[in-house]
Amino acid sequence: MATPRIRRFPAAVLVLVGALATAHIGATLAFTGPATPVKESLQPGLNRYFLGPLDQGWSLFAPGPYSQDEYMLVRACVSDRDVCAGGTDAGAEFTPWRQVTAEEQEAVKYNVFADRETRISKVIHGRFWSAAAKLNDEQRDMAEGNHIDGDPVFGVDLNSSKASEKYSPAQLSTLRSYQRLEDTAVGLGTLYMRQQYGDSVTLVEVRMMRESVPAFDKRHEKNPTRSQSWTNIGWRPATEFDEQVSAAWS
Amino acid sequence: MVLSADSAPVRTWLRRQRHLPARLARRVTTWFIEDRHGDYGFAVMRIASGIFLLGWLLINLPIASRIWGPGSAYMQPYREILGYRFPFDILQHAGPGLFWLWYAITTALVVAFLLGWRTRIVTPLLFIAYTTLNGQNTPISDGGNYFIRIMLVYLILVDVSRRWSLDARRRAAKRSAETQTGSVLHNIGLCLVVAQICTVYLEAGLYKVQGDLWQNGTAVYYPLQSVAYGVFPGLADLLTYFALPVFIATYVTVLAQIAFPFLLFNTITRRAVLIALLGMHLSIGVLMGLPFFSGIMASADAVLVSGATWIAIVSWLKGTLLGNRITDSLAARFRKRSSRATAKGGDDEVEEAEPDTAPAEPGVRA
Repeated sequence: MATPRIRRFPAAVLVLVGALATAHIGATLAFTGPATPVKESLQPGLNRYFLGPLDQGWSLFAPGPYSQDEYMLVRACVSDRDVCAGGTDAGAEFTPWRQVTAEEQEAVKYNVFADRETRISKVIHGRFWSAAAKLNDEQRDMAEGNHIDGDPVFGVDLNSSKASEKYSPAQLSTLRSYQRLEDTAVGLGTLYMRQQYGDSVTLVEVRMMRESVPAFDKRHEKNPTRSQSWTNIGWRPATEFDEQVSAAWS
Repeated sequence: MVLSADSAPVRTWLRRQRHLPARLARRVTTWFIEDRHGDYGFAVMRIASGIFLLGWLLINLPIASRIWGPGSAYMQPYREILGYRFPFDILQHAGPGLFWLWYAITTALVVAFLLGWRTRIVTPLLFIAYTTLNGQNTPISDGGNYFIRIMLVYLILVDVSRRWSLDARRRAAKRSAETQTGSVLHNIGLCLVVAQICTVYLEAGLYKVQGDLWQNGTAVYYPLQSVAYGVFPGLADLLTYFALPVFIATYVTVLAQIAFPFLLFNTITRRAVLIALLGMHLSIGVLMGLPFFSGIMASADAVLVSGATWIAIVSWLKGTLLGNRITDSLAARFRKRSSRATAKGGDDEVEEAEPDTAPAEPGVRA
């Protein structure tokens, strides 16, 4: 049987789309692979290419499996902000700590088809923790401090020219990443607390806690130790959301 | 230039091989135009991933507003820099009306995709709709969501509805011819899908090798014993009680992932590695409560199973599920009832019965 001959247009398509596909897979390999001089030379183009719809955010439990449970805890001040600033001595009313992640994950047990609400705070924890880990000691102290009047956490608006003067581009990038995730965590914390305490929530405080799974060789112990580590966000003003956001959480 | 006697065989060999590049090019182009490869595998991938996507959307329906809709505004500081530009950012400030309309359209597109209805149009639209929804809250996604989003880009090129679909029935009825360009795009899409699967497994395996817990053979114990992924704590305790099964599961996972691309070249090793990975996905899906992640990953692996195998599996399933006493008696009752109705209704209302075998589907016409 004679082999079919390729026509001109399909041949052109084969060459053009084939070249693009090869380039794309090559870029994928370079982007997702280990740090190499080739990868370095292709940056920042690679990062830009794989932003958004082409994001390759899979990790498949590599290089380390999930071995520490990630928790988010929130509490709020439900008095006027000025009163809150004075603390309990000034008559401020504080809510107990709410274990947001533990509440979410109650639905996971014996439920293979749990919805993703069981992961909301856990996934924010994961991203926040990585960003916070990049802060130096001084920056971490600033982040753990209280900033209840909306003053910048790191003393300067991170999008201003002053910030560019104060910090190197790499430092500024780290701080901005942290700030975005802190705002996200505070926003989620606000919604959870408003869900429970309504509009009286004026300030929120968020804590992230990691609790290790008992080591493999300790698995037969009756009460194996689970070590904990914490990263805290100091008191922050409750995030303001519009009505339709509140309605979704009511 | 003087060639020694020793170089004569080399010259002869080179002369004989002078048409090799042309032959190779012809073989490659023929492969790209003669058929749309992996069509049954794509049908299984389309149906399976469609079912999982539909399940994902329906299970998360009650809380969709909080994780992707207007209630997900807390994600705005994070998501606004992720590079989702128009049309993928359309939901970022949308109200409930637009959000729920988008959600309904996405669900409808998933159903159309699953059934294989107008997939040349539906697949790109589904990519846009699903990616936009997903972009609202990327951290809430699991690996399967990332994977299917990338796959949908490639599936735009692929004739995913060539088999077992509404499109296939329509095409068979119309006897519409397949174009060379369509076949070329389909086969490039297949190459991309296979390359992506290989990349994911190989690199995940290579990264795992670098992790201490994977090296010491205890890695699978940890997620199973965590609160977040330990769906069945008692079962996890049982499975991780002895070190040997944990060690075997850990090492098989790593070895299967690293070896995956290389084991595809041989039929027997390919089947072995696909079965190993299917087992891994099933375990993750059930024991760790990640059915959508596992299901979507496994559905992509379907492309690597040959058409003959899929036909054999479907025939076996038909025989097992339909060829038993219960279904036979149900079918006989149904036939009896419908023949009575036909006798009452007259000849005008009789529609042509479905043939037992599917109509011949169009082949590639050069």
